[in-house]
Amino acid sequence: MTTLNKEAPERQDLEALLPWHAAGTLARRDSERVERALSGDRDLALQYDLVREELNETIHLNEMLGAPSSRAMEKLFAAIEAEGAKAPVRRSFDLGGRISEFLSGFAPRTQSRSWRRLPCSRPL
Amino acid sequence: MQATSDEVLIGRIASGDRLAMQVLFARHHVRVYRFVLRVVRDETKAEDLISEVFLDVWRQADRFEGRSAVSTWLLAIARFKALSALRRRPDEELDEEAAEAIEDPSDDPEESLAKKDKSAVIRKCLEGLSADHREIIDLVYYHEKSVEEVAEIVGIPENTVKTRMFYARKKLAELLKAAGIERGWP
Repeated sequence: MTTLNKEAPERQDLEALLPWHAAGTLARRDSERVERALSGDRDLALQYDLVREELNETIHLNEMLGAPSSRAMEKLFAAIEAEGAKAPVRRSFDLGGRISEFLSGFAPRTQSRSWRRLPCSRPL
Repeated sequence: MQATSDEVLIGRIASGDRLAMQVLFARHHVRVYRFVLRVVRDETKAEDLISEVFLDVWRQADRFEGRSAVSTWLLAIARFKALSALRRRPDEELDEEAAEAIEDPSDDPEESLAKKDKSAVIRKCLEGLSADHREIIDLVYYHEKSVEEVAEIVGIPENTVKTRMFYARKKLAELLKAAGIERGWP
């Protein structure tokens, strides 16, 4: 049906990885695998040339889209300003806070509730 | 001097640091804008949407867990907002744009060849791809996203990412062939 189905799985996989190899976003192991294949497979190397051609034109096409005006930034910071003093919640990993939160689950009130549910806490 | 990483900026933004927000915006807003513009095809709308994307970052920075790159997170938010905006548009507006988008680059192959500008023909054919195909090509080639990152942004399995990219390239080859450029693949 397609080129993908006609070829050996390893070759198919390498062929599928070419766009990411060209973009430099493959993991090192895969990248080395593709490099080895390219050095010994002329058809694959020719296809890689096509991939690079597509990549260049895609970048060109996107760059032709231009950039937003300063209005976008002004609108963003006006919205942030409008939110006023409401700063986002501090995100840093607050171990002390988390431990405290965890321990608060064992506060006397909670414990006494739990104990009330235990059969042994019922009046004899 | 090494630039502050995106992850560090997000941590500062989570603490309410507006300067960090400016740096993050300056670093990513053009790419996010272009990604959104490709979807909504309206510059004013795209500008509004990127403001919303970064406002979400301001509000949700404390929830960023660092499991993916900040740029991947931004594009995932941008994609969701752009598609939501498209769904809100009146049908007539969409029909007009769809008609424009459907323009087949193979309509006038002689003219294309006459230009003897292969690059221009490739770009025209790229523009003639379906939204799904163009999106994946943009994410891989322009936004430099890995298989895993594309899967996260688009919300599809990694194998589907590879298959979709393959078919996008195959379709591009067909459009080029129709426009008079035979590339010998597939």
